[in-house]
Amino acid sequence: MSRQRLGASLNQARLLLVLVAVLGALCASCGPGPEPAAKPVTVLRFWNGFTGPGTKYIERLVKEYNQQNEGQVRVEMSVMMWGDFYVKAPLALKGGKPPDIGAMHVPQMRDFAENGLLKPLDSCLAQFDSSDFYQNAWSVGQVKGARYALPLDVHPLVLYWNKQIFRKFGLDPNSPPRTRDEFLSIARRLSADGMRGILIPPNWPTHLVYYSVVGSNGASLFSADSKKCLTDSPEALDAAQFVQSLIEPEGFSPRNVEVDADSEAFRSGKAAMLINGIWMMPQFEDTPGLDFGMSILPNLGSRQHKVWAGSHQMVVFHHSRMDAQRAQASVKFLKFLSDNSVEWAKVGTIPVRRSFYESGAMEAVPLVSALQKDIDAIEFPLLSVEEEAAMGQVTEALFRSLRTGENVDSAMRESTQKASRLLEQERD
Amino acid sequence: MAAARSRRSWTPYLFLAPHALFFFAFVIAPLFLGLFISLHRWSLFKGRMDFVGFEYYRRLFDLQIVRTQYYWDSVKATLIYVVISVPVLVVIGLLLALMVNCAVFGEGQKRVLRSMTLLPVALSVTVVAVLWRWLLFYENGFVNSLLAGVGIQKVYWLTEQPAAWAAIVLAVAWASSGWNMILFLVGLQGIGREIYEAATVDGARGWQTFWAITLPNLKGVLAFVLVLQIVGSFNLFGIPQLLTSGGPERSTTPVMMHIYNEAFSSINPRLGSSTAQGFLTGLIMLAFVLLQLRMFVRRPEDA
Repeated sequence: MSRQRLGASLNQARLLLVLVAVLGALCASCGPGPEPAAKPVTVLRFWNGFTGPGTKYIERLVKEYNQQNEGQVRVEMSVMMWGDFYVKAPLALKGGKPPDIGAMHVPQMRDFAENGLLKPLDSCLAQFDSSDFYQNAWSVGQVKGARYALPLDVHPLVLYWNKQIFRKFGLDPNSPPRTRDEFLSIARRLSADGMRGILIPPNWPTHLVYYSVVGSNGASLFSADSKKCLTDSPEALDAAQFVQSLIEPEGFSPRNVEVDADSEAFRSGKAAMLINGIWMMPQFEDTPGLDFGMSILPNLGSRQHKVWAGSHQMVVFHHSRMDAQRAQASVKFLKFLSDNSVEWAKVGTIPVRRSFYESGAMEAVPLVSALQKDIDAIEFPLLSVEEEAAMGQVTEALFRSLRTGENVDSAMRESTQKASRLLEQERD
Repeated sequence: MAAARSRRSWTPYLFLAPHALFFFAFVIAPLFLGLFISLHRWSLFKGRMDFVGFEYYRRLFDLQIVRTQYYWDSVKATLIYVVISVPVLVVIGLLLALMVNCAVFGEGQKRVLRSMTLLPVALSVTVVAVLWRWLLFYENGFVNSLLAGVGIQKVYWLTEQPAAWAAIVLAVAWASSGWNMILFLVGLQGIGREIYEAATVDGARGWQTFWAITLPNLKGVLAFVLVLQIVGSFNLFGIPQLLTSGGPERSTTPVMMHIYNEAFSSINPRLGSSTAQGFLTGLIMLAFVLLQLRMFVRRPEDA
């Protein structure tokens, strides 16, 4: 603060010139704004849930941006738990210190947009070239005909495999399974001599595996009008049966694995493969002696390859003081984050700009770079709030049958009925 | 006389005022605000409140509604926990108090024992839960390696019933029986030496003394501990949240956790229905406490 003030007093004249020029340029590109030079430093509040390994990367980017724009814009970041963020933000937007910029997950972003809490960015992005973005990550930012978000990354389910164990069992450490049959035969080979091929917890993240298989079987979780739950279709039942078969009769995994025990076993070399989020990557890289490979979850269905993923979408919030100039300054920062998201891959996410891969910049993060060929398989289940609640029924039944060995068909049929009922009740 | 009386009637209220202020601000006002919220459909996003009357209360008795089933499932889980945990926690507290109060130990030893049993109380719920989670993991938890060491089959402490309840009671007992111990200890120290001496003269030994003298004299404290413990057990939240995440399949989701989830886990907070559930739960708890007060507090008067 004091350093900034000192700098400002030393270079006041030059700074003022720059400021006028920049604000003038901003106003020109984003419609009419308020009189420039009225506010010397625009403070932008940036809220996100990047706790854990992501914090230091995002902090570095924010610091860099603040240095580049010293005297004009200062980004003040608040990092909190995602759950707190989504509860606090709607309240804060009505209060005295609202956030200006945020990073959000897809379902929440769309819900915020539909409820008028986000600023449409179309006017600020008029000359923006979006062709560099991967289409699936870009298109979710479009809600009811308006654009609300710029994608920062996608984070899909991936398959991790322990190369050392692959070698020990006579498998090629550089060719992971690509299909259901390959996956099963490799897991069978690896389930011997006290080794676990793969562990399947009747809990997180197994429902995401199930969603991916349903999608890869060409089926949907809900009808297009969102009135019925469709998880009793033959394709969806096949997905549930497949997941259960990994426990029984294949016996890759015991029935009752705790949350996180699957990744713990993979890390300590007690399980040869793991299906989990790409965000586990940094942890495994930091594990001494763990030589692992990573690919997008293989096609475990019978049709077109689909894989569940989340995505961090960057947004500008709508509040009473969000004028055109502030929105433009916010978007400029979002572009900066996007332009510099190669580093962000190290947190265990996939940047969504084609140019990063074409220019070779992504070679700095080879594990992630190798996933590029499968980015098109990535899909975000765009579940509404009601659908999300209804899916709770279905996943609960799936987990119960995985845990107890109960017939998965009847459990899924029954829970589908209940989910459809819940869907109907949630609407009123 | 009249002036004196009026002065007398003001003075106590002045003494009460500081507490009353906080009591009104943080108990009475939120209570009425809660009631107000429970009668409205409140959308935080739209910033709109629509009056719906007792609709959310009505829904809590319509078992066709899936969310209503969730609520009653969680009430059932809470009652199961109350029934298991209250006797265990009260008895452990009593045993610890008897141990700490035992004449075998000298003053210094007693002090050490007291601190040891009371120490876990100072830990936060999070620390306790994470600690027990590590201890109870199936594959490499300390408890299971201990069991395996003596040839007993490992137990799925966190993902199977009834072991999950056992795990929760264990963690809570370890963390909180110190409170009950202290209360019982106060009661024990209030029993006059001379009663024990008289009993010894009459030839009472060990258990006889306990049943005939210690326990009857602890009746008041026991009633107090029971009321506190039942209310405490009804308020279970943190330990299952962190130990079992309410699982397997919501079976260890107590009602407080359910109400919290109802309010805050969805993208669009369901404040009206969750407050209604909070009120109904409050009434259920009130009924329990009244029942207890009848059982324990009236009896000495009748006798």
